[in-house]
Amino acid sequence: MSTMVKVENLHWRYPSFGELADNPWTLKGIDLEIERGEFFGIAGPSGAGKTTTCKAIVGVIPHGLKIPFRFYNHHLQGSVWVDGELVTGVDPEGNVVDGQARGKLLGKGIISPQAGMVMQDPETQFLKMSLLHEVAFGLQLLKLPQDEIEVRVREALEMVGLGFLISDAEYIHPNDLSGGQKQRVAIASFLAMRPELLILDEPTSDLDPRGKSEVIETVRMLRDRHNVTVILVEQDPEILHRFCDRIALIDDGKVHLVERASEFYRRVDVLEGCGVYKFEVSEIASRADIQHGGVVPISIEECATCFPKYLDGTLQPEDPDPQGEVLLEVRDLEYVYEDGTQALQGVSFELHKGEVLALLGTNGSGKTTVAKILNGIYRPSAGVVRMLGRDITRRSVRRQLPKHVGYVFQNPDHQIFTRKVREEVAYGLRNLEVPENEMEERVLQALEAVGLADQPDEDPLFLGKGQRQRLAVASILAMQPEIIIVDEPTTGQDYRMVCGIMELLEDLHRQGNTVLIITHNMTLVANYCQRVVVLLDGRDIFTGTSRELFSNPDNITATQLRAPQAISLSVAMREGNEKFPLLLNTMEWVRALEEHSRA
Amino acid sequence: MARSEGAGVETQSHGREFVRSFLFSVKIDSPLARLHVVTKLLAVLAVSLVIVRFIRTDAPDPVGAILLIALAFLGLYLSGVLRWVFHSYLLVLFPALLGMAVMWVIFNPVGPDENVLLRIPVYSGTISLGISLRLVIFVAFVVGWYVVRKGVFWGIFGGLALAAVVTALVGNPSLTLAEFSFFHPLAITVSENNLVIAVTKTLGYGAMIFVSLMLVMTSRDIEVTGTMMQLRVPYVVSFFVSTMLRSLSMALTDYSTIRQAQIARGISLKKKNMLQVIADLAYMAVPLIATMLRRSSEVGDAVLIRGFSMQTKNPTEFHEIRPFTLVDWIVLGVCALFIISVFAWGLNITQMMGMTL
Repeated sequence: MSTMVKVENLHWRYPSFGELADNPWTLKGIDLEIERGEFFGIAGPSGAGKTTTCKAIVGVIPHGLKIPFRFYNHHLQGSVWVDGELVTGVDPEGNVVDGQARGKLLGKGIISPQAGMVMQDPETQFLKMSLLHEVAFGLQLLKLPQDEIEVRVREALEMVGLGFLISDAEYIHPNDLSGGQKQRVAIASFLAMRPELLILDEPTSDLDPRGKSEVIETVRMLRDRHNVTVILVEQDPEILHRFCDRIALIDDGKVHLVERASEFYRRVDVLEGCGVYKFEVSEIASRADIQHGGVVPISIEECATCFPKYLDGTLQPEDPDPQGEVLLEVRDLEYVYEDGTQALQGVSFELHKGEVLALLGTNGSGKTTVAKILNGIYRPSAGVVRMLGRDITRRSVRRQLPKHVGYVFQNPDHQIFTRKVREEVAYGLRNLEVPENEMEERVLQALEAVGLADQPDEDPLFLGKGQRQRLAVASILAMQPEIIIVDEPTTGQDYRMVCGIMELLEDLHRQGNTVLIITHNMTLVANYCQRVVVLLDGRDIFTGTSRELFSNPDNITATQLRAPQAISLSVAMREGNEKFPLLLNTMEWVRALEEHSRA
Repeated sequence: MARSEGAGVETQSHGREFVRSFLFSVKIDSPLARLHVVTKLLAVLAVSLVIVRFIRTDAPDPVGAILLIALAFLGLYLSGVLRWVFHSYLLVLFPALLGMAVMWVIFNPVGPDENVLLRIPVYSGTISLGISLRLVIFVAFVVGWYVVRKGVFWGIFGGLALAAVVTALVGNPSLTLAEFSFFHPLAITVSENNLVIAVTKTLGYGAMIFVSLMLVMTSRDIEVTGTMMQLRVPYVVSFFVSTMLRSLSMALTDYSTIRQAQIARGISLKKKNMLQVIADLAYMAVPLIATMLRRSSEVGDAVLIRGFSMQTKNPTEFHEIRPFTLVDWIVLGVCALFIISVFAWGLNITQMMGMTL
C-alpha cells in the first residue's frame, strides 16, 4: 500500500482583514497519513479544524485565498502531500522583503480533478441552473469531448441512485430537487470527475437515517470498485464505525487519536474529553462499569453477552397517557402545493398541553408542511385543524396563529432580524404590542431560559451557531405561545451543542411548555419525546409512545426509521428473557442497572 | 449542428412538461421556449418600437394595438404561462392600465372641432366663501367619526356620501358671504378622439408589458450563458453571470423563508401603515445579507474545488448553446418587415381597414 495523503505538522491561521488582532491558529500541527484506497473517518467537535484540514488537503487552503502581503510565515507551517506530490509547503527563508523573510509558498496548488470535496451545504455547492449542467460542469472545465461528458454524467447519476432523472436532467432546476437529492448530486458531480481522493465533509447532515446510509454505501462501493481513497468527516458513530477503516479524532486544531474503526469508539475517555459522540451502549456500560473482555463494549452483540440478563420487568418506567387538555386537533389534513404536488394526503393527530411530541418521517414526508400549516403560513387544502377549539381554515383565526404557535425555523440565520440580542427578542413582542415595561421583563426571562442573559447587547451575527439557535428559541419563547414548534434543531450540530439543545428542550418541558419537535435525531426522540407521530408520503402511519415505536421492529420497518441503540439493546435482551424491561434511553438503562446492582 | 439536432430529438421524449424559467415555468416544447433568446429579445424591442408608433396621438392605430396584444396573449398561452399571468399579474396590471386610460381620457387637450361625448363641469371659475348644509353635514360627520372611531379615511368618505344623499333629498340651502373669481372654469371633457387615443395607448402599453413578460417567462438562465458563449464573451465573464443568476435564485429562496420567519414573529398580527410596512421590509435586510455573506465564501470554495480558476478558457460546450435556426431568422425577418412597413411606409392597420377618425 502506498501513502495517498500525508499531512505533516500543518499549522494554519486564517487571514483577518479588519483592525482586529490576529486570528488564533486554527490548525496547530496536524499530522495524518492516509493509505491509498483507505476509507478514513474524521470525528471531532465543531470548530475543531476538520473542515479546514480537508480544505488544506485539496489545496483550497492556502492556494485559493489571498494572504495579506504574501506573509506566508505568519499563516502557514508544515506541508501537505497527495499521491507523492507536494500540494502545499512553505519555504520559511523565501520571499525576503526589507530584510525579513515572509515565506515562499510551494506546491502544485488546488488538486482538481485528482481530489474532490463534497461540502456540508448542498445548496451552495449547486453552481449551475440544471442538474445536467451541474454534474457536467467539472467535466466541461476538463475539456473532455461531449460524448465522454454524456457518458460520465449518466454513469455518475446512476451511481448515486438518481439514474431515473437522466432523461430530464437538462430541465431539472436545483429548486426541483429535495435536500437529500441535492446532496447526492453534489457527490455525483465529483464522481463524474473520477477523483482518486474523495473528501466528504459531513455530507449527510440533512438526510434521514436511511438516506444517510444509502449515500455512504454508494461511496464505499466506489472505493471497493475503483480503489478511491475516501475521507469522511461525520458526527454519527454508527456511520463512522460501519464504513471506515480508521478514524481520527481532531480537536482544537490537533489530532488527538488515530485508531482502527473497531477500536476507536472503545476509547471512551478520550472521546468524552473532546466532546464527541460515543455509542449509547458504551456510555451505558461505562456509567454502569460493565466491560466486555476488558474493553468498553460498542455493539449490541457485545453488550448482550456482558450485560445482566435478568433485569426485573418492573424496572420499565410507565408511559402515562397525556393528561393535559387538547390544544391542537388535526383531522384528515391535506395540502396541495400550487404546482399540484400533494404534500399531505390525510394527517391526523392531537397535541396535549404540556407534552413534547415528535413529528418524524423521511425526507419529503410532509413534516415541515404540517408545521407551516399549524403556524398559519400555509392554508390547509382540506381537513380540519382546531387550535384551542378554533378552526384555522378561517382566515381571521389563521392570521392570529403566530400568537399561539411559535415556529423556530431550522436555520437561525433566516430568523435573526436585528443587530442586538435584546432587540431580537423584543422584535416579536413589538408586533404583539406588548407594553414597554412588560417587554423588558419578558425579554430577560426568555434570555435566561436559554442561557443568553449575560450578553443582551451582543450582535447576534457574531454569536456561534449554537447560540444563534438558542436566541431563535428565546425570541419565540418570549412571545409566550401555547405551542412551540422546533424544526430540525440538531442538524449539523456537534455532540455538545446537541446536548445543550436537549437540555433546553427538557427545561422548556419542565416549565410546562407544549413542544412539537421535527427531527431526524432518534436519540433526541427517545430521550425527551413522550409521544411520536410518524409521517410517510404525506400520511400519518404511526401514532404512539416512543417506546412502542422503537421496540417493535415492524414499526421500524414500516416507518423507515432507525431505532436508537439503547432501546435496540433492550429488544435484543428480550430475546433471551421475555420479561426483560424495554428500556428506552441511556438514562433509563443507567437507572435500571443501578437498581439492579443495589438489589 | 448535427449533435444539437440529435439532442433536440431527445428532448421530445422526456417526461417533464414544464421547466423553470426566470419567472415561473414554461412548457418545454412550446414554440416560444424553442426560440433563441436573442430572437426573443430583438422581437420584444421590435414590437415595442412598433407600439410607440401605433400610439401616436395624431394617428393612433387601435386595431394594430389590439392585434399585438392578442399576439402576446397567444404567445403566453402557447407557452403555457397565461395561467400564471392571470394568476399573479393581472390583478396589478388591470387597475394600473385602467388608471392610465382614465388619465388619458381626461387630461388630453381637446381640439375645437372635436366630437365631444361628455362634458362635466367641476369648477365654475369663482370661489365662494359661505356656509351651506352640505358643508355642515360633511364637517360634522368627519369630526364625529374622528371622535368616536379615531379614523379619518372613512369619516371623509362617509361625510361626502351623507352630504350628497341629504342635499339630494332636501336641497342645499346655503348662505354666501363673499364670492370672487379665481383661475378659469374647469370641466372634464371626454372627446371621441381622446377615447380612441386612451384605448390605443392602454392596449399598446399592455402589449408591451405582456411581450416583456413573455420574454422573462419563457427564457431560462442557461440560455443566457449559452448566448454569451456564442457571442464569444470570455468564459470568466459568462461564468460570473451564471453564478450571479444562481446566487440570485438562492437569495429568492432565502427571501421566502425569511418572510415566513417574519410572519412567525407576528409581523402581520396588527394593521400597519405604509412606513411600518417599509420598516418590516428593511428588517429583512439583516438575515438576507447575513445568509448571503455566509454563503458567498462557501460558493467560492466550491467553485475552486470543481477546478475553476480565473485562467479557465473555452471549456467544452455541453447542451448550453442553442443554434440559430431557420425559425429564428423567419421571426426576425417578420419583425424587420413590420418595422419597415410601420416606420417607412406608414402602415396603419386601422386606416387600412377603412376606419377613420
